[in-house]
Amino acid sequence: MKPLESPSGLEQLRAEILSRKDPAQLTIALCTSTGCEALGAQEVLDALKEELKKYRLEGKVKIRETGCLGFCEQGPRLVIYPKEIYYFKVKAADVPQIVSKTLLKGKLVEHLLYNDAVTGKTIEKLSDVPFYKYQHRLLLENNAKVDPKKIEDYIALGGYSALAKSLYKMTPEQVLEEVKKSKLRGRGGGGFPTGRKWESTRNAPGEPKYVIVNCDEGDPGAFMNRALMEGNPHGILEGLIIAAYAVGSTEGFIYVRQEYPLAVENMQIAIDEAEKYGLLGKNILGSGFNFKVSIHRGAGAFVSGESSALMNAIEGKVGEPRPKYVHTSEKGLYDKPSVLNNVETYANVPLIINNGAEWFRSIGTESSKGTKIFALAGKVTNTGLVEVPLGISLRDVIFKIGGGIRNNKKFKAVQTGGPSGGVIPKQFLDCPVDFDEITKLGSMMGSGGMIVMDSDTCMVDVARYFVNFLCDESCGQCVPCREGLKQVRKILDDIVAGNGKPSDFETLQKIAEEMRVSSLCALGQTAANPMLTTLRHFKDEYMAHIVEKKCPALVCKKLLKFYINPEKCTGCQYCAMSCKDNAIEGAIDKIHVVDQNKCTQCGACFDVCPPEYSAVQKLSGEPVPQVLPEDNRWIDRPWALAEVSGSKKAMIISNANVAADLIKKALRPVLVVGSNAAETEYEGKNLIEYLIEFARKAAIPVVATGQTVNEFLKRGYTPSDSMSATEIGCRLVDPEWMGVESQGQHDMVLFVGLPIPTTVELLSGLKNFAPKLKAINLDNMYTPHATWSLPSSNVKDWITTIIAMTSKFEDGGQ
Amino acid sequence: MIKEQIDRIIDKYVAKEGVLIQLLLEIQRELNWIPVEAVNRINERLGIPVSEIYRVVSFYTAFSLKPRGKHLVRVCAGTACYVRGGQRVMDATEKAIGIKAGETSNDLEFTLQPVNCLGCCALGPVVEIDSKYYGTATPKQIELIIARKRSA
Repeated sequence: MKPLESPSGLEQLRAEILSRKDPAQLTIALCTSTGCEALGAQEVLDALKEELKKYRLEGKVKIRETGCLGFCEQGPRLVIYPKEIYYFKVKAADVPQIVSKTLLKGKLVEHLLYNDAVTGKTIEKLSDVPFYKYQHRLLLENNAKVDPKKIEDYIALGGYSALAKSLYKMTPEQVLEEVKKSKLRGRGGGGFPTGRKWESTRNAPGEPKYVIVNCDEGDPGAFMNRALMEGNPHGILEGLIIAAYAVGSTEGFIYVRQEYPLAVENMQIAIDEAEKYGLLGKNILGSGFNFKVSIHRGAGAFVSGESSALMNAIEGKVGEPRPKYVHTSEKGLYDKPSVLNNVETYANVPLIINNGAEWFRSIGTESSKGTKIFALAGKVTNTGLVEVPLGISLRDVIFKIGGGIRNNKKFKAVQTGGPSGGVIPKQFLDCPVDFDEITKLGSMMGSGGMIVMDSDTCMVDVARYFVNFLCDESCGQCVPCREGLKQVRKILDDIVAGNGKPSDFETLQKIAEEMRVSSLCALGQTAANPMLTTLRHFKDEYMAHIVEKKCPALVCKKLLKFYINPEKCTGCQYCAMSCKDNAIEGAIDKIHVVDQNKCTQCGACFDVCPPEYSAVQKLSGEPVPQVLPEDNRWIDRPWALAEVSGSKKAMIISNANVAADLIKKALRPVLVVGSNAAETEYEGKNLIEYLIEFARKAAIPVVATGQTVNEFLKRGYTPSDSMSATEIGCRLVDPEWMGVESQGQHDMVLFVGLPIPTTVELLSGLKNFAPKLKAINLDNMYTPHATWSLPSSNVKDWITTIIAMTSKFEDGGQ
Repeated sequence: MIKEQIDRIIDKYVAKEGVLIQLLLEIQRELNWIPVEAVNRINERLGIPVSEIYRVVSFYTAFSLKPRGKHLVRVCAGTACYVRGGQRVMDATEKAIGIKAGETSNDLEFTLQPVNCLGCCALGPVVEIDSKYYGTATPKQIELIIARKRSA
């Protein structure tokens, strides 16, 4: 590729790229950004490539790997062009269907279409999906259209035309004027007018001048910068070059935090490509303007996102903030005038140059123009990236786009602005989202994180969380921040542990004020915001912790007790199996009780207790009821005693050879082992050890139920999976389940060591609902519902059969 | 051996400005820690005071003055993950590996780090194990992955 030498060269290239594009080309666009990656996008991609190869479609169907499309909760997401079919929550196992049904026959795979979590309805057209319907996606939209690793995709969309326009049709002053007129404000937090920032650097004495991109997105809960840099790095690069031209800079830096490796990778490719095309480097587009840029990776420090600290970090020093009376616009990087802007700010610049300041000003409110990307996260139904015109109400963002609160819980507050921001309670939901309005509520816009909290979130705990975060991240240079935070943390730690005093409020207020006035940088000055806003809006919660020793949201561990309601407990053993501290006593068909002395309040039992029972309960601020006496805990269960097998009864296997032969015939057997197995010993060895040997020799994957997994692990064997007996039962009847090793449906299941009622229940289910599945009972108690069963026998005969059966297998299942 | 490796990395950064962090990042990536030899060698070759190198190394979380484990487990402690049960995932991971957050296991198999935000906030709680991200992680899922890494 010869470097482009003029705007007309760029236009010619664009025309060429566009003429090569076939609108009827079958293309699959798959999001492979970090979010979807975490949900298995790579596996989907591999499966797609494999499947296309199988049908010899590699040449006909193109795969485009795109950046983040925002709706992370529903990922991995893919789009099939030209018909624009959107599939959500795609798994590798869905790929064969996508290829055979959609690509070859043009039919839809129903279960992959968008299913609205609020209404439960399927929606085919993306524009009808509420999550997208109310957005105004100027920046994020391009993520769907480009492969971030290909500059041609960006050029095809009109990329770098704003740069050509700036260099050839505008003077640097005119560019500056246009950005000023657009009223664009910094998207990183403070909302300082971008044009004014550029102007002061331009006018500051000293050469060279530097332009810097801040992608040290440290605010927990914000990830729009990552999405932009991973998904469309050229958009940011173009904005940066234009900024350099406007302020008269010839060198720029892109600072990326180390937690974003993919962003670094894609940006580096973008820089290399842009240089190759003559859009970066010496004599850009033949205009005589030179600009070089390099990436600087961060090394993990929240405070380094502060402008002066970031410049220290680029210089290779400790990333600590500098005193603020020296402005970085005049004395910044290497003490030279420097512009530092957020990723999203730069991404807006090409749009402003192309469409004009007038157009940009038409979006937003009086004081805040344009759109802003928010990261909607926490307890909201639809999580992801949301780009909206500034001025939209919080209610619209959370309820219309976000679909309201998960699991029909109540909205409590939304946290904006990260650790420097605050919480906004429900009475302010109609507040317009705009730099100044949010600040008036004691919070701030910050980089755009919006973390939604419901009635299960404890506000004191949230305040403590942020203080703890900042305590770790304070650089320690100035006393008010370093020591103030420590004292605040100590007081809040006491409150959540039930040791708070009413006089704490006053002390907290005093320290907060001191920190605000005397800290060196914004980290310390705003550090008290999360605490102050929770104190202002949720004082009753603080009071409950201090006076009643009660956490109303049932979060603060030290004020919690777990209790099993005997009226509701069915003796299913889930809680006891989940307890790592052996604090739950019980047996099958026996009411379980928590030993409060052993309980560490980890909450595992609460999570596993089936919702239809809800027997495990959290208590706070009230005494734990007396447990039932031992003798009264047994539950009568007539159904478990009367067991009618029906006409089809299991055939008895009395010969180990027969058992081995049956198993060898199966294509994909699986062995399910329950906790009782560990209770059988024979000749000094535990049954688990015999089973490990059997599974190894016969090459059969093992599913261990509940805590049984630990029995395997401590003997050096890792089961393929661990789940409850009910769950494996449900999965075995599911025709779409691809098995524990994701290789296909199991055709045989072997059971051993499950409680007898459970085995009976499971096998009768399988007999009726999984007719193709063969089931073998390996316990020493005959079970009629299996296909084959070992006979009822004593331990010696039983184990001898298992050993003999094992010996019939050579290693590897033959 | 190690000295040559360090020298080879330093070679790339000679006579450049503001390289210390990038240089240390590369050493950390290659060696999995910053040995004292590296600190001394940087001092000898680039003339950066030892005190300043230590200051940088101890300031940033990316660097470690002790060898790190073979498997790096990072549990996100960002706000979005926190409100969706990140702390519980952290507790379970600590129990599964048998070390506390920030520590390395004695057999040098695992290092467990809390991380402020991995930027997958919509999928909280998130855990990163050996550069692979796991979204909507559950304590049980992480326990299993740890067990698998251990026996692998």
